[in-house]
Amino acid sequence: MKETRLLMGMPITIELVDVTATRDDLDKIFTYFAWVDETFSTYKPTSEISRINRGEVLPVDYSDAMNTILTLSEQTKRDTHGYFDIRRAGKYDPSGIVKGWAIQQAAIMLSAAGLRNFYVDAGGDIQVAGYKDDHPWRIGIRNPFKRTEYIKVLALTEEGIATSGTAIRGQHIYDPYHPDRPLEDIVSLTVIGANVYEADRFATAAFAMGRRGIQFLEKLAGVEAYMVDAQARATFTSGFERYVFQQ
Amino acid sequence: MGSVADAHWGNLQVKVVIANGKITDVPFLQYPSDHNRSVMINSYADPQLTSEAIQAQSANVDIITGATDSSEAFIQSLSDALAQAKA
Repeated sequence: MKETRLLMGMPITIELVDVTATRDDLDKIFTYFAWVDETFSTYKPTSEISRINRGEVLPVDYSDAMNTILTLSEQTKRDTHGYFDIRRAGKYDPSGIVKGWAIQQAAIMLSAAGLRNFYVDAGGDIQVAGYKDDHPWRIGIRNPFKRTEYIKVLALTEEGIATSGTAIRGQHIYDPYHPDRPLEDIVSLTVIGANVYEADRFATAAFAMGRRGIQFLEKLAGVEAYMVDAQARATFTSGFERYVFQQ
Repeated sequence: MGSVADAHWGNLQVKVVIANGKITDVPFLQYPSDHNRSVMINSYADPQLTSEAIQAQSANVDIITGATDSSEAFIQSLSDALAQAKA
């Protein structure tokens, strides 16, 4: 069972392979993503984050989910030497952490429903579980210069994967230390982590570091990465190749 | 054929192939390949890291990770090509 819906301004695809999977399992996850969007979208004036940014909510009245996201954001800021920062010009924009977190929560919900073989893909950031029929999930890394092609095929069974790039909806990542400087050198950075939350937050932060991002990821335990620069050269971390699909 | 748009890291130009009123392909005519900077980049080399030229793969995949949408330069070139097709 597989379905794609447009939510949070991006296509979200869920595929459930288990024969026990029901329509209800799928609907619950899409309902969850709709709730995440209603709570964290800075484009929706009625969302909790928009009300907080307008000063209409006291910190003691923040929802549990909001407190979780703010705590995780602070932790990620520390983990990335300040390169990950949801605060900009006095306002919060937690979109850099909410997506990975929400995909991860969705995967936890599906596991709790007894499902073992599935994936959740929100705008190209993916959590996989188990197998597709008889093989590990095969994931292609999109060619940032030619969207109909992919430049690497990976085989994953329990990991999360996320890609940051300048090609997605313009320049949505910036260097907090040099907010006006465009990130020109790196066009695509894919990170594989223990789960999609880890992959997404480190992909976002390392992308903001520019060319040094891949070195930051090399030193980080539990993640592997594949970076493509503007010259169409790829640089990858020392443990990356064990995830590459061997034909 | 779209206009040549500046994608910050070089020029970008796309073409739109339309058949029976539908877009069937958007091939890139130009995409950035700035060879002048490769010298500077080598000075950042790290012994643990490996480099390679990117290469299109043919194995079947179940899912694709990557930047889903398009850069503003892509949209600019595409819009221009579509406007020409309409005219």
